[in-house]
Amino acid sequence: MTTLTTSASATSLESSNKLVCSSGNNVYEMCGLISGLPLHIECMTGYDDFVIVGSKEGHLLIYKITFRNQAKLHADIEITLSNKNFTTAIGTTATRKSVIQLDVIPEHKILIALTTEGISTHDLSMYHCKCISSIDGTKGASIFALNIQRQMSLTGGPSITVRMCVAINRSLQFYYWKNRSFFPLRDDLAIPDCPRALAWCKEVIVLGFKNEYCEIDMLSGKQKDVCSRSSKYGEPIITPVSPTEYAAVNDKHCFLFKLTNKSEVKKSQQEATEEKNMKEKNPVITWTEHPISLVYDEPYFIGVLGGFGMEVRTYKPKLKIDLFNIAQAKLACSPKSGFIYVASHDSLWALKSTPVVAQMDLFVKQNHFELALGLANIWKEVPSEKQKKITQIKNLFAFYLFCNRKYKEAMTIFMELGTDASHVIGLYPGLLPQEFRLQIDYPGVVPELRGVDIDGAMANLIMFLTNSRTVLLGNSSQTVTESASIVEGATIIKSKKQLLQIIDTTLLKCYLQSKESLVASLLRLKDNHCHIDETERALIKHKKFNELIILYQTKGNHRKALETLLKQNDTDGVIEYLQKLGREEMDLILEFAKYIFEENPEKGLKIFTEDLQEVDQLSRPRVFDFISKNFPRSKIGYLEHIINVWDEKNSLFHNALVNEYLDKYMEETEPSLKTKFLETLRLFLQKSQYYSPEIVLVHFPYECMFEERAMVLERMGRHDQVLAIYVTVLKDPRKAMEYCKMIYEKSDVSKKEVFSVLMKMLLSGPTPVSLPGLSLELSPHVSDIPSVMMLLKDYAPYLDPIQVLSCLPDEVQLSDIQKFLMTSVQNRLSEKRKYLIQKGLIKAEFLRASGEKSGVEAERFYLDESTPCAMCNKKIASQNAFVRYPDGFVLHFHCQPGEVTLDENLMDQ
Amino acid sequence: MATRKKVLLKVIILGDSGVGKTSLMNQYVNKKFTNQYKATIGADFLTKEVMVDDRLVTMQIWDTAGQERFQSLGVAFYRGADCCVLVHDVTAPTSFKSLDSWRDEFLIQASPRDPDNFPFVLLGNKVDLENRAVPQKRAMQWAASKNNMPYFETSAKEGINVEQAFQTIAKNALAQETEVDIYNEFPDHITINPDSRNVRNDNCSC
Repeated sequence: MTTLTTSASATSLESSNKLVCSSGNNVYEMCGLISGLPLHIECMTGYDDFVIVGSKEGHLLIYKITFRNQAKLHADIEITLSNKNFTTAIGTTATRKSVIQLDVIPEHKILIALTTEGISTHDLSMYHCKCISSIDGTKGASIFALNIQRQMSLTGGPSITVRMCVAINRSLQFYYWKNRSFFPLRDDLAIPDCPRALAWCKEVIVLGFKNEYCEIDMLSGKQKDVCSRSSKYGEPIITPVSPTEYAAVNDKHCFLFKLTNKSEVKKSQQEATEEKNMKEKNPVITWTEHPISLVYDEPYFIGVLGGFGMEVRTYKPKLKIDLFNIAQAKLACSPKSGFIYVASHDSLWALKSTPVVAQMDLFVKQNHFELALGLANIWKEVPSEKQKKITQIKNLFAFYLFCNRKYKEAMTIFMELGTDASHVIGLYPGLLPQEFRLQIDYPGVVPELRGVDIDGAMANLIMFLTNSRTVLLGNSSQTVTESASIVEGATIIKSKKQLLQIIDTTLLKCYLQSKESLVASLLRLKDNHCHIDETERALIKHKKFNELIILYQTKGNHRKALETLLKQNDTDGVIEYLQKLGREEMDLILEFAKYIFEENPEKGLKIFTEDLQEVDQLSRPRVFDFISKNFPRSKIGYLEHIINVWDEKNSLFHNALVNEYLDKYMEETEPSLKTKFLETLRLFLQKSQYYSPEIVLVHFPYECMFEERAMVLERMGRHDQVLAIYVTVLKDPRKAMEYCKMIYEKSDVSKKEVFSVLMKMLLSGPTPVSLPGLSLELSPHVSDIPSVMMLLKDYAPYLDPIQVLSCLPDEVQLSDIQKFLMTSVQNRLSEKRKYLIQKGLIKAEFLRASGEKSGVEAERFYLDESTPCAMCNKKIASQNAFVRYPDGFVLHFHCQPGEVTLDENLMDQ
Repeated sequence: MATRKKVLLKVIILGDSGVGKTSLMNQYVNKKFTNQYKATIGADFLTKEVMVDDRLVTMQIWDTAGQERFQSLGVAFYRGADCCVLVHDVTAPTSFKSLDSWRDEFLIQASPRDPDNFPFVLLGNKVDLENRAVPQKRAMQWAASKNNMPYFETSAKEGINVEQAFQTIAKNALAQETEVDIYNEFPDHITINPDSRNVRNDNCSC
């Protein structure tokens, strides 16, 4: 056992390395570590800061490498182990064996080596990396693969599960790690060929054969072909990318495969999508030359191209990032993110990634935003800072997309980020006020939107704006804190109100340009924040007057709305507007109604008569007052509407209408119209139940309209006056009789006498009180005997014969009133008979009731001290009044519910 | 034929809280009614397959929350709707008054291709109740003023007119859907290389 000293060679190499590094994107810095080892490096692995190298001669070297941050990358190399007899302890013979493959379980400090004697395990922490054991039955193994699953245990500590798959000829062996040794996991699996490459992802073993790649399900043993490969170009290579993805190399191409999870995907869907996704799922990286070793260091693939140096590439998007001209390189490994070690047969190099932020900035500069965002995954930074950076990149990305006319994608990102809406709006021409727009910085020149682009761009802006306002309105706080600017650190709008104002005003302008019919909808929204002046200007510019009215309306500026409508001579518009204002805006309604009335009273009336709830609820007295003061001609129309259509019951309006009809009748000279009004008046007097006759009567003329006067008097119950009019003024006794018949009612004292009153009137003329104030020249009264006779004949049953006889004049012949007397006598007789029968019936009823009463009185019952009241459950004491119901319940007198009937139920004990 | 593919119609029901949106949907899909009121939170949907003009279509009926505090439906929810059903309660005048704002809200959020001809259907619900306050005439006038949207007087409780109303909804939604299909057969827009146009402009003598 000897230790090599290589410090001299390490320093000498540094200078020569500068030439090797090509000028590309500086995502990795390279430096040489060791060169000219007197050994043949066969395999290499690493963990933490250590690189472990195995040689063909059976030598094991472990270096600890620390990097120093200087202007140039500089590495300190410390040899922690150099054991040339590493392999002598393995197997039965104490000879040196070639080390074929090495791997490490860092957590357990265990090194696993594959030599010609098979798999052996070594303790890294022990002197000379002492062999712990070798696994029997693995002699002749060609390759092995580890599967290390790191989990948090229930107690919070990390726990790891280590499994190993070993390929021996045409079979696979499986082991798991426990208590510092490997135990068989399951039966061996037979495979068709001897694998050249091996990887273990989840429960799937991926095998690389000479001519093809295939997957084997570790649990079921089912084999699935992945793809064939051409055997011409080197050995198969499989590199795990993530727990469920791996890359496989064929010729110059590198394919990415994803493990399909059978249980999750339904069969029918799977079939349909599988083929479609095939291309997407397996993006190809094409190297300049076929790689002999492949390392994935998120997000880069590093391919060692035999004899052509090394290439760094990405697959999303497909880019060649960097190139290192290490022609001799043949092996590469990446023990931890950002560090790659490369080996030739006698030298070692290291690639260390530049700071992630620098890389991100680099790609942002090159417009490879997706790549920059991917890098954020591996960036070790406090989440808040990281988020800030991601947001910034995404904003730039969205801006880039916008510039490249990918409006939808751009807006989706802005939406997701909650980018300050004003900044987004500023990307579009003519939407922001000029001075405001100039204050906003953009990362580049904002492209001018032209032609067909505008529609698409606008539609996406609308989507962005509607989404933003929904989000903002859903947010209860008054200030906006989370929004970001496109350029880092630019001023953003903090006030929610201001932001909403900008959003809504812009939305309106967008609609004006592309979806005009939505302008009105937006303005009508209760929570629209459109900037009044700006919106006003825009609407006027587009001649959107209807929408302008809506704006004024929603902002409560009704006067301005009405003035605009008037200016446009839109009478119907004004009317419609006034109809919707409601009772709170009464003053305004009346003010503008004046204009309409002056122009067209009929239309004006519509303001107050439209069948709308708002109109219905206007204060009718005020409206009537307004109309009668200013436009008396429209009074009737209004009154008729509210009474006939809206069933107005207020007598004020009914009186007014009667007066209106009266006036109309009086004023009218055209006979046909005159009779028409008279007719309407009569109809109304008959129909209306709500006018006050006393008040109406005052307005009636004394020289005409007697019949109508009679109608009013009838309503007042002044039947004698009515009759006086019929008899003396109209001289129509027949009508008077008909009236009497209509009015007569036996039970009502005031109506019972009407016929007698009429008869007296016919005989002797009306008393002075019956015709107050009628300025009519009345001829002296002559008894109208024929009418009296007719009355007596036709209405005998309604007249009292005694009264009749007493007032009939002497000259009337008895024979003339024979019929009346006979009818009267018959009536009396039949009445008498009726009463007799009634009397008999009542007597019978009385007898029956008395019998019943004595039956009830004969009933007896007992009460003692323990009899409780059915209501309050207390005893009924001796001096208490009580009630007994027919069904036997006994209550205190004061306990009985409802009305009290004393006499029947009260008894003393 | 492109239009003979399986059709899914997205129908959104909007209206004030308590007008019976959920009840209407339940009556139509499940033929069930309950007098108990339970506020809808967010949105929920039921599907029903119906025949419209010899075509089998699947109607996806989205019932929404009428109460403001449960409304957090974003733009995404409204997008792609084929028909919007507005519901008011004929015994509650305020619910009738709100119709305008529901319609506006929908148009703004959904931002349909052709807002003027987007199919709406108006339902006046609870006609089984005695204390009616919104006259049929007034509702019909309103519906007529909004591009003649169909109006139905329904009762989710008694099942009056529910079937007919939804049949119309499906029919109108399908008409809208096929129209969109026609649109989609054309490419989004034809991009003319602006440079080439400039060159032509320069060379043009006029």
